[in-house]
Amino acid sequence: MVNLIITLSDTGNKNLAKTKMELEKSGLTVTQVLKNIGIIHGKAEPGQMKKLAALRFVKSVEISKSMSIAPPDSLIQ
Amino acid sequence: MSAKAKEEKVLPKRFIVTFREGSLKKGMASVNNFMGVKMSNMMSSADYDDNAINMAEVARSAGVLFNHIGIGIFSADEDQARKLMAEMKQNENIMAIEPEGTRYALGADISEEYLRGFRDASDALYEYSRKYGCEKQMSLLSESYKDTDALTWGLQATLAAKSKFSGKGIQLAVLDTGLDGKHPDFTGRNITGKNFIGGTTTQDGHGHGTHCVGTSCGSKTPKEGPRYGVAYDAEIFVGKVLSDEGSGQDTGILAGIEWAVANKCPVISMSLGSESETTTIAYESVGQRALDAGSLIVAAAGNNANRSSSYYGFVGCPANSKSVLSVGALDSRLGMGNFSSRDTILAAGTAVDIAAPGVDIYSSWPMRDKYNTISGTSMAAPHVAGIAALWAESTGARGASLWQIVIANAKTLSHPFADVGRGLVQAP
Repeated sequence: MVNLIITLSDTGNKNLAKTKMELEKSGLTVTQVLKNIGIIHGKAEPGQMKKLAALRFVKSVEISKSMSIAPPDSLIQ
Repeated sequence: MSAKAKEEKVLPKRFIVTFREGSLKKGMASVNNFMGVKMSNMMSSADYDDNAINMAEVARSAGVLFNHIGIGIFSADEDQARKLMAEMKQNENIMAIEPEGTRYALGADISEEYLRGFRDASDALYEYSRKYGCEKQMSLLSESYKDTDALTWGLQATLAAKSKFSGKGIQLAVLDTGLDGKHPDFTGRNITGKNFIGGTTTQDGHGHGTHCVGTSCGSKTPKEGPRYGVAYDAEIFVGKVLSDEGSGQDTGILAGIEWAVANKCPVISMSLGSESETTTIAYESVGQRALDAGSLIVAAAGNNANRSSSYYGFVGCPANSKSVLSVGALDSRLGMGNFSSRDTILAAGTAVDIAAPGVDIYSSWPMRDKYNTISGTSMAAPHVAGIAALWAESTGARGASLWQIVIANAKTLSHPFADVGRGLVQAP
């Protein structure tokens, strides 16, 4: 399972409940719905990504990556 | 007296009033109070089929209203204008009142003496450049700042120290490692916090977040040392999206943005990024949706350059999104920070948009250290975020309009656009 970021299309954001249901039917375990910015977070097998991306109202499916900053004692942050 | 000067003297004095967006009718009520000009007695662009006013009729009217651009032009004496200017400071419907100027075509009336001076100066600069190189010449022209007992160099260079605005009434979100809740410089401040990394506290166990909150929103009168904070009256939203070890996931960062947008924060400061030359559709879309909702996201361009070795790096994600304001770092002589990322990708959206102080920046740090001086584009971004909050307060602008105002008021620098965008951020 990978953590996924589903970016909804502008119309998808207006059809949030329906889109969430379709994503779940297609194998996504929804963990968070960010309705103000049109994003759904969830987990799924990597093999499901194409299927999820093909759904109506879905703009993109991307794997969540990590970001980091320098340690506290670094002079450049 | 020249013919032109005589002409200016006999013409009635006219003033240009700029109304805030959607406030033309209310603003006109104030103009009526102070100038006795009624909207019904004015010429209006809306009265003309093609919205093009017949300028020959203007002199006979009480004034002109340009409805589509929210501008009014009125005849007034100095006393009336002064009263309206005083009123403007408290009136939320009027953005500015300025005397109408007369513009002349370039090239007209340029004296021989002026042209001779211009030629001599150009010749001298050319000779100097040929002899010593353009870079040295530019460094001689550059400015230099230093921390004083009263102010950090960053607050001086950005004019934040001289601004009459404080960020009052503006919510500024800092998505980072949190804030040290025990820091005495934040006692009594209006602070809302939220953890997005699976915990419950926004306590900063790293230092980076406390430093960034300090620069963007720190106190006007810190317990000790110089003032280092820009928007000292802003309402602070602390989103802990990075752990005490300094790492976080896209999901937590996006959840932090959602929280800030939902709380109608006009400015979101993000001194974080990944070493990725391209952005994601998620950040690109979210940046735009945030702008549409009235929130401007400011992000650090990145520290992956090593300019002294002729390596210029690239702008990282999410700063390389078209919809996110990307910030490069300057030193106290307004030279580039050695580490400050350049836009070497040169694709749509990957640009550095603006620059700010980011070398040897003094700000708050978790107790017991209390203060720390560090460098990075992470330190430059909060300067821009704080100053954006001042512009949000002074103009009422939000989202893309606020972006435009911050950019348009930057001070031009001699560095390449790929390093500093439009230049050094300046406070209102």
